[in-house]
Amino acid sequence: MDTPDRVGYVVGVRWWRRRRLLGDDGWVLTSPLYVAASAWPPGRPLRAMCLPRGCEAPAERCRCGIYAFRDPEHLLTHVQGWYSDPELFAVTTIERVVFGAVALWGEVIEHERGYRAEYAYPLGLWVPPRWRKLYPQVEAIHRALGERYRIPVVYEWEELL
Amino acid sequence: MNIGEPIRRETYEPITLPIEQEPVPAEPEEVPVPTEVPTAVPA
Repeated sequence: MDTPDRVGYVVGVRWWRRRRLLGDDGWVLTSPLYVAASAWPPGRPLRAMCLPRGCEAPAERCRCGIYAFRDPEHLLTHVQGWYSDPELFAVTTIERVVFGAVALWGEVIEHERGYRAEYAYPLGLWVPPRWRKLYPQVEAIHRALGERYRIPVVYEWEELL
Repeated sequence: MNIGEPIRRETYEPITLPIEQEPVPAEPEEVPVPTEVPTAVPA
């Protein structure tokens, strides 16, 4: 990394899908899309790679990098759109979706509504308040994820942003 | 995720990282959904 433009990291918001990987009893955060190997390692930063093109992620002329929105509003609109599309809905059930804030650093490309970054690590998980009644089992799972990644679990975005 | 058009590129170097371990290289973290860019899906 050359001389940094800024000291610190960017905070964004994003979603994951929680999954159990083969040989692992606990839940992990993974990309909500369909790349099976894109688990976020607990306790270690995730570094972006670009397999389709092999560029230095995030590259300006590519779509690679670790994504996050700037505002929770945009994130929730995105997820609602995802779940209104029957073809995409099959990817995962809604209660397996995990929302949270992430630290982004290294090379970061700022977009109109978010970021693509070189490095990332979760800063905390947000449980939609209504989920406590709709999906009672989710709270304990989020707590387990929080302990595994050593991050807080909250019900208000303001506690993370 | 549709995050719009790029605005600027900057390098951030944290004084203190959220965690202190070495980074783990990842598969492409964001592969476009099938309706967007099918050619970007890894083999």
